[in-house]
Amino acid sequence: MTPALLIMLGTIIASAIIGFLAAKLKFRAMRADTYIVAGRALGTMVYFLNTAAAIYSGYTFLGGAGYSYKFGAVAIFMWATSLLGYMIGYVVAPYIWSVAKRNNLLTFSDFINWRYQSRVLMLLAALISVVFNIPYVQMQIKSVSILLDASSQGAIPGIHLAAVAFILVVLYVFMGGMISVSITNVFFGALMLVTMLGGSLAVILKYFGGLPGLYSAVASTSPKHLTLGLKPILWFIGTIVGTSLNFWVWSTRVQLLYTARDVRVLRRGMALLSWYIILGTLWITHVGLAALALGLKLKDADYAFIEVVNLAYGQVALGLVAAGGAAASLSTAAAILLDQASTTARNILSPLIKRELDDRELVFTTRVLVLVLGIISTILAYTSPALLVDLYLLSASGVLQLFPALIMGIYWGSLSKYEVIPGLVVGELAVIALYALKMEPLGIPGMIWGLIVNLATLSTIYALRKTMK
Amino acid sequence: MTESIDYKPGFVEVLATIVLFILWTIPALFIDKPNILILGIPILWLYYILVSITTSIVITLLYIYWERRLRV
Repeated sequence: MTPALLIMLGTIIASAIIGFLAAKLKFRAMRADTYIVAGRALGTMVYFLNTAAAIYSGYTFLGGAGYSYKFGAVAIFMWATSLLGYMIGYVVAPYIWSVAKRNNLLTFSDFINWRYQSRVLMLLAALISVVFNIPYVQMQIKSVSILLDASSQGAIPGIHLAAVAFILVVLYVFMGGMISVSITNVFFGALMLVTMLGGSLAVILKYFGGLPGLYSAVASTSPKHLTLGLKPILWFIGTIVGTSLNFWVWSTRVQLLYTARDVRVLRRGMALLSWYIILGTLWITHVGLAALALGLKLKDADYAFIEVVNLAYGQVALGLVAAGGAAASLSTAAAILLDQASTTARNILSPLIKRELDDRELVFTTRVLVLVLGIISTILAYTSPALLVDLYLLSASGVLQLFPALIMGIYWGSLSKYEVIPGLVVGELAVIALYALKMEPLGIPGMIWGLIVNLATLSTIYALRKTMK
Repeated sequence: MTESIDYKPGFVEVLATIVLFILWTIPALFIDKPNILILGIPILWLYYILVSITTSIVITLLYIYWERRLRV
């Protein structure tokens, strides 16, 4: 067993122990709001690190460096996604939180139901949230598998160990719900930040002496990577707009907002999260350029960060960075799993049986669904791994179509389900059609075209409804 | 919608959001020039590093200003 693998496995086991211990905290009765949104009681540091760990996945951790290795400066859109996302969050999150607290809302789809008084729209939002998140969970298992492969230098089949690590996560989510998720994520979030910043700075300083040296080295090996020229400029701008607008429309992220103790925690959290990007993602993007300047030939761009660290500092450093990557993946998977299970129980099963689940039934059903959805994700990680990245892009596009329902619905008081539902359906159809035809007209991403037809449909029906009144 | 809005965004918050969106998108059309270096850093990269830091500072200042108003 290599030192890197030992460190990585040690971290995974330590996190699972934290998760199990957290589930043993003294709760006489596990109420639904305790199990699903941590009793809306998280203070600033726990809220901040839990949210950071849940939002930044293995895809970000490995993909941040991988994307700049492949597409150079185009990867800057990742900084914008989060930073503009936190600006929007600063503005809208307090309202969402206050409504959720007052009305005991537990999921994103609960909010939609409260806002539009429409079970159809709630069901649509729940289905989009659950289905489009399935590939996202699979992707986390795949990321852990990549890290295990790299740490063991191919000596062990990474996918089997990744599945075992994921099952440990499923078990502690099953036992402790959001309590276990949030306390484990404090550990994960801190580990991720230390490894992203430490690993990136160590590599850049060792080989290039600083950023000017890095840019100079890239200019002599592949100058086009210093420009936005590897994708159409409208793709860059459109992706910034699309991904930052959809930042808070992911149902897991809305559920994370509910966990804050008060609005002060939320807003302070947004400020801290924005600095997390400056200290983490911003540097990790530069590691992709470092791999390029060093002339590394990678079997996959996503290996950029771990390969560079391995080259620069050897097995122990690789183990630490791989542990950070595993933390990023597993923390995200845990939060999504809990959100999917609670959304399915409360917003899909409950309307189907035409009865509100009481507190105990809701906790029990959510727990069972955590196990069921965990098993489904594990099986899918084995059976259809090649689809992951494509499906993720489709997911992001699909989820963006909920933007008018959530964000515009907050401030546009007379917007109703009669406009939102057709807009949502047309937007989703446009996204799926463009995805199936592999088209991005004028170089603008499909998610933006979906949003344009969504808004056009919504506005037209709104105008017609007002005229007919 | 059956309840009043408790946390309507203020004029400054909305203005800051719009200005930041503009700063992140429109200049990309004009500053993609790898030959222009400032302190050894291509202008595109320097610009986006500075916009990133500015965005974080704006969110932090908005929070500090909001909390001070709460105390008064």
